[in-house]
Amino acid sequence: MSLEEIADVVNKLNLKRNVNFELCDTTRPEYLCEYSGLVVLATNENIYLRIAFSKYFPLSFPEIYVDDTSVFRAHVGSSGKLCLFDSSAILVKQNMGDQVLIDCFDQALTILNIVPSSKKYNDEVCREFDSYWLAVSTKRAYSCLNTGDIQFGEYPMVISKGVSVVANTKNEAEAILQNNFELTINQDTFERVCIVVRIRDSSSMIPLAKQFKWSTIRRYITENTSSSVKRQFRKFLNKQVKHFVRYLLLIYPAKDGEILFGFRLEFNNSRFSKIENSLTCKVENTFCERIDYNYLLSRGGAASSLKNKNVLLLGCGSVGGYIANNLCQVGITNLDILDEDIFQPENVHRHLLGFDSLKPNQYKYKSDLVKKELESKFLYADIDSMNFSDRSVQAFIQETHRLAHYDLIISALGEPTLNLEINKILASYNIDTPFLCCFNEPYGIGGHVIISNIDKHSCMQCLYTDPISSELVPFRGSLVAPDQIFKKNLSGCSSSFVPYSCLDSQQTAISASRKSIEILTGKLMNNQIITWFGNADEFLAKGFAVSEFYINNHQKQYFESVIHTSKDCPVCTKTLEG
Amino acid sequence: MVNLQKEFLDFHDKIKLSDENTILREKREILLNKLSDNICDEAVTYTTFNQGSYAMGTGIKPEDDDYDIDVGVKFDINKDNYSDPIKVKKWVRDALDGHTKSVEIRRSCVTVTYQKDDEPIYHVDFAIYAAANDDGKMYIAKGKEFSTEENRKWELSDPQGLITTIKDKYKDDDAKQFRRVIRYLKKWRTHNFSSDGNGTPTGISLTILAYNYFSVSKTYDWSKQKDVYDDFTALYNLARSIKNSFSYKWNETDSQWYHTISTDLPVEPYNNLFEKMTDKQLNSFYTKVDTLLTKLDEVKGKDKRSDACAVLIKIFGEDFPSTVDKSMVGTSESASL
Repeated sequence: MSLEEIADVVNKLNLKRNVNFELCDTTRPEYLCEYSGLVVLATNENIYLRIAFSKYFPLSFPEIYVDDTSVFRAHVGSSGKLCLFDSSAILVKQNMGDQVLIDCFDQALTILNIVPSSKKYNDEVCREFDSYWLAVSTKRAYSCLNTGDIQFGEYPMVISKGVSVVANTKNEAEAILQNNFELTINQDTFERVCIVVRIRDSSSMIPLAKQFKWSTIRRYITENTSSSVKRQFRKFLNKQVKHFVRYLLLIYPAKDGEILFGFRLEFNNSRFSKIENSLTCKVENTFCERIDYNYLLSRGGAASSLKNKNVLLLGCGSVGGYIANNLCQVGITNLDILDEDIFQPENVHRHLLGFDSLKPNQYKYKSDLVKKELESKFLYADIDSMNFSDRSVQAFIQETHRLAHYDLIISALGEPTLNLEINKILASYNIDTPFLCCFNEPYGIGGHVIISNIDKHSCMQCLYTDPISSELVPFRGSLVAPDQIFKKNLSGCSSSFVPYSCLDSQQTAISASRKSIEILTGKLMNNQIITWFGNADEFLAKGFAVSEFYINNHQKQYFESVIHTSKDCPVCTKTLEG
Repeated sequence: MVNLQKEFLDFHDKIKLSDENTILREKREILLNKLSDNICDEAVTYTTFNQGSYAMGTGIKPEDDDYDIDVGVKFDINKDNYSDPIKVKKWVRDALDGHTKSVEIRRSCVTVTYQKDDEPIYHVDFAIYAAANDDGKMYIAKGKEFSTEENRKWELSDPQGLITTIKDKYKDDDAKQFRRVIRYLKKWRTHNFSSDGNGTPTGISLTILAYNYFSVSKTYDWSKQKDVYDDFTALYNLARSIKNSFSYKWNETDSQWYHTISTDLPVEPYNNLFEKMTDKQLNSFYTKVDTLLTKLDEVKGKDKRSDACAVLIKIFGEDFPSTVDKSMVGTSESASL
């Protein structure tokens, strides 16, 4: 919009809202022009506002500033800029520039008219507290405390090269500094104590200021905590100190979740005196970056119940690698990965790991590399890459009792004989661990997830049992007609592979991961087969034939069904009879 | 237990006498043309129809290459006007005489034996009916050329009703399994009873036992979204039901207990189809059914296809195929490397 057009838009605002915004003499470089004017709030307070237009207006909203930034106001940043709308949540009519300005102006007044000390004011302050606190903080600390369980407590904070981590234990804090922030723990590393205090429900947020006094903080805590917290806080206040440093973290229970904010307190008394009465206390606002499990996972929508589940993943190749990544990302922390393969250059374009996982002449086991990758990506992932001398599944399942230690066993081996053997072991030894198998079909025509051992009406073997006899047959949900060979062989048998792409593996892995979460959160009640269908054009062009199952279902693109019992299944019918 | 459906279907393909069999159709047509050309002026109008197992779709190929074709000839006559049924039979016999090796008036039909050079022997049985009776029913002419008066008679009969009854019992693929199982039973009969006919249950008696006791054996295959038929189980269940339908009966003459069975034709004249077998012969029938079941049980217990086939070959003869398993089955799954 041109300057003249903007002038016209401002003129309409002046007329319709009975205000008098005039073009400012100076304009900040990021704007095209700015207008200034006086408005009267509901409290009869007069304040000057500046409306700044960018050259992209009305594609970009006009920004509205409060001139006087000495008073804290809700939704007003430290520069005085008002937080008007969440532009990602609204659609602006581009042909109504004048109305856009009027709507923004009205919204600015609505915000400025929120009465301080009202409940709405408190809620609004809480909504933007973190950004406010970040702006007024001079210190920063990471917290991996699960604050939901804390009323009052003292926790170690370890500081290395200016990075502070408060954790349940010193070891935990040091591990995060080393493993995730790649800092070394040495003689320069030091420890502080952090007092964590929970503010009582329905208390108001601490009155906001840029610089706090110790007396204000102390009073706020004593007036807004439960009696037991207050008692413990009093003990702290009664401590006799001279030179003394403590971090203080407050947990404020807001409507949309807990707010964590902190202070660094440095007492410098000329002689020992109670903390409560210390007059010389340097207070530094401390921004608290939450890295605790529940907070990090809450955005991912994961259930915190996943944290304590134990999952065994057999095979971390193309499909398994993505599953491992998905599971850790949604909050699985205890994952055992068994895989005997070495990661090689030809794996790169259909595997989670990339070329950076390859060191010349030092190719490593996929499971070790996936462990390294995921533990550095996800703070709480604790992966055992099961580096036995014999990493084969055949060897692992010799000790059948191991399978009972898990809440879920996932096989991404693509080896039906081994999958059926595991299925048999689970049935024979009455092991209740749910069993999920997943694999791709060739040339991107689809993939499957099979879940068994949830109920006892059927099992994995039912899908490989002839419908009218107990005979072993190829997978009955197969998408390809029988008796075809798909393996490709570019450089010898050892490198033979079935053609499918990384996208096929990711699609199968997503289905498998979703179902894994359903299983682990107790939402899946029966054995299931899930199939996704891809396009068969390439497959057919190569002269291959699809199965009846593909023909009957591919238009739906997705098939999900309970596993039907095969009446003569040699595994589950025997178990049932038994 | 292995899946023997493919073997049973292959077996069935080998033994079935298809109603589409062109050679039989040609033979029949030749004779029907001959009949129409040569029948005497005295004879009244008639129509013909196929009857017997060939018409019901339950025929099997004869092992001795002695094919049987059954044709019904319906004359528009009232039986009451023809006290001697042999007279009517002679119209047919005389019309066909000289055409083939032999034409003979037998008790229930006029039989034409047809053989040329090295071709198989064909018997075409013409059953003669009076079809314009007061009661609206059909009567078959019974008696040989020189039978005594009491053996020459018109007997109530409903051959077309029988065909409809059998054909309508099941539909589509179920009917196909029903007919296959009847053929298996007939093949079993060929291999387990003497060929001279004494003490051998007739084809129609086995068909009616199946009509009474057969039940379809199929399982819905979710992956193919259709029924999968299990002929072995269908045959097994039928054999078991037949065995269970025998009753234990004291025979005064032989002073012995026998397992006997009776089953009535489901149409006119509703006669017991086992009436011509003695109690002793019925007992022998029972024993053979029992042995059949034992052997089928043996098949059930086999985990190898070749072993199962070996037992079935003992039951049905060499027409039953012998196949061998492999130690592995193909798969489209792939190691997720």
